[in-house]
Amino acid sequence: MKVGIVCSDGGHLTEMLQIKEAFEGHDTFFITYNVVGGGYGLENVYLMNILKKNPLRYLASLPFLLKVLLKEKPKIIVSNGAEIAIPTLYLAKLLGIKIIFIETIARVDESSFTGRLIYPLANIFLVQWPQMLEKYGKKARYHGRVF
Amino acid sequence: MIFVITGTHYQGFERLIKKMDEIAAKTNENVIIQVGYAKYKPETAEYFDFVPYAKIVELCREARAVICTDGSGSMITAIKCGKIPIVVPRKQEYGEAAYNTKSSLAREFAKENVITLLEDTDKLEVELKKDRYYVTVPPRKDNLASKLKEYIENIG
Repeated sequence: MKVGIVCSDGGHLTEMLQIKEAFEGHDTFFITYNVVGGGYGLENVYLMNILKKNPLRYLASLPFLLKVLLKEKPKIIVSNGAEIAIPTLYLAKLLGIKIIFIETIARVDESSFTGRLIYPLANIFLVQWPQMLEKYGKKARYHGRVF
Repeated sequence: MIFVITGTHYQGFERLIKKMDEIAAKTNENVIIQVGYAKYKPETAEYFDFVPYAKIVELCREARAVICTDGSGSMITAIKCGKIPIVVPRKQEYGEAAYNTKSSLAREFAKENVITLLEDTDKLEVELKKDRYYVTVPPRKDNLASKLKEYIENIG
């Protein structure tokens, strides 16, 4: 199965690398930022400019993301944020791609901006601290942390 | 060897780098600092700006003690390498951070005793001498990865 992994570089990507055995046996590709994202030795990686909280940049990133998703045709995308997940996962939803979102371990007691926007779209929505379950809703599940 | 990680944040963490350079001048131990975007360059300690992630992991494993910021990536990397990192949060008032985080993750980790949260860099020299920074502790193994694997296999 083709699985896309979408996250910012730095802490988010480091978290994803801790659970890489979850992707074993599947074809994977990454979409991350070009800041230090190139330094992780990832295979099959697409690098893009940082988005931050700028809706114009989300729109501007859509042609690039559409090209990547049409080329890779993933069945599932797994993301733990941050903002890079917003345009990517809304587009993925329109293309019928299944979405698994993992709230970052850094969110101990407050929901994230990205998490709140993605919650309605996600097929599976995971949090990494039990007290985070009540910050979202019935869909949220807790199965421990990335380590 | 003592390894210091300041991360990839665009503001330099001079306060920590200067203090560790001072400590490097007083000890026989090798101090290696990842300085990132900081303008100050250490005089005694070995340093570099950035290296591939695999090299950071290798240095964390080799080090007898790791010092890092309260960024989740650095803390997780050090803990997974079996270290109890000494975590020094960046402060907005010193120009090290865009805003003061609540360090929620660092405080949770400190409660679990898998890191040491240290605000005052003047306490680093004494802290580093404690036994807990000379041992390797196996990190806890959580089941998120195996549950995620199940979800991926069953979603289609």
